[in-house]
Amino acid sequence: MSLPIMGAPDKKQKKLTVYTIEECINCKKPTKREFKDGDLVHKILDKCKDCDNNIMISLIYGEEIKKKKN
Amino acid sequence: MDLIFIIGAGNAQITSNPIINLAIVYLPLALLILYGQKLQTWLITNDLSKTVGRLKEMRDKSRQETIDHITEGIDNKEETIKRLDSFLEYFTIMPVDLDPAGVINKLDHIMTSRDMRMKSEIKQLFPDLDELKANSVENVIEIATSFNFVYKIVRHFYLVGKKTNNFILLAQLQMIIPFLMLQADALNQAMTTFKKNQPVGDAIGPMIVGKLMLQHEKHDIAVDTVYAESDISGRKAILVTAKGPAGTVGQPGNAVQELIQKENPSLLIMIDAALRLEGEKTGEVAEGIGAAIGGIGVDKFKIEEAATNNNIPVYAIVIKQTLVEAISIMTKDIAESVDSVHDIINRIIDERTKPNDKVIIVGVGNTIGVIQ
Repeated sequence: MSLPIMGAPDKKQKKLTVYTIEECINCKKPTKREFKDGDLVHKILDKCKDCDNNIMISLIYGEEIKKKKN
Repeated sequence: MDLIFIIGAGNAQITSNPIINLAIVYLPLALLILYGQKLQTWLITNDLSKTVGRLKEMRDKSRQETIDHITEGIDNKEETIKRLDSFLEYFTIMPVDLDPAGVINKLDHIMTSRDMRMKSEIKQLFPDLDELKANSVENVIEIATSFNFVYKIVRHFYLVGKKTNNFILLAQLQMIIPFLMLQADALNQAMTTFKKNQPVGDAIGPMIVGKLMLQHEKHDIAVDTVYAESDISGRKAILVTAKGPAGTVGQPGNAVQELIQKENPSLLIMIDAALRLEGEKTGEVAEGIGAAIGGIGVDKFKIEEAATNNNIPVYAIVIKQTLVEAISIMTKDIAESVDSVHDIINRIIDERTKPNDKVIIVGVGNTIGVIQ
């Protein structure tokens, strides 16, 4: 039993899902997908289907999954 | 038994029998006065024993995760585990500061030697590892070492308090335990992030400057540190950051010192992650004056000294976050601050410099998972 004299840290840890945002260098069209091993920020990937320019990973971040209300 | 409750001015009776009243009211009171502290000590010891147990579990888990990470595809696992256990016990002796003159140079020397030793031992142990994986191994070992250190310190004070029955020591330990557990949780989350080479919250500085460096030629300037030259609003922008995507903070102090000597800039802008206060929002961007750089103080000293000697104003832009966010996967709020910081950099350059001036822009932080 602990004495409630100094409070305690918030035990509700946020569960984050890691996403990778890909963006065409030219048309800036962003695509969001789940992170895969080997993804790095500013890594050049395939060619853009619309304008044939390079697609680059612009951001990698963790986001909390919001539970859908029924 | 006939219970009579009489609550009067200073006269509380539970039963009509004065002897039983005495036993029920005054005996526990006397026991609490005499043994209250012992009871409290027992409660605190019990609580701390659970926390120490939890820390031990976390320490063992981090050690196991480190072993799994570094022995992936390696034949001689036993020898590697033996070496890892010796890594976990590594320590650094801080230089004497009774005579503070020159202590920064000593500190710099000790920390550089420590980093070099760690790197060379990992290289020796795993000669075939590429730079990215070697850095990941180094970071994961450092996290496991920190866990081991936190656990051993907490266990030490817990055992000393228990051995000497020292209520004050145990109470003090119990008071700081919530903060230590926050750090332990942060380290726990950092382990996964560093193993996967994902950018952490602290990588926001290198990410902001790294984006400006894309498509410009990069040059090595100090250990694990690069710079590139660019044009921003007709000014020569010299962009400095740690060399990604490996997890390193580089040596921005040495880099800035050398670039100030070489280029004589009219402005220095530093971008870094900063610890936010409770109530502030994660990802909030703030501007200020001074060298925005954390760590042990060596790099900060070098930058401040070079800027002061050359009369260069130092502007700081910080992105607010908690300690946990700084060492675990970068959150959306932090990641999305990139464009607003670029706008601030452009505004500062437009307002504070003239065309053809030179500006040094430093992205401070751990560049894990970020390419320049």
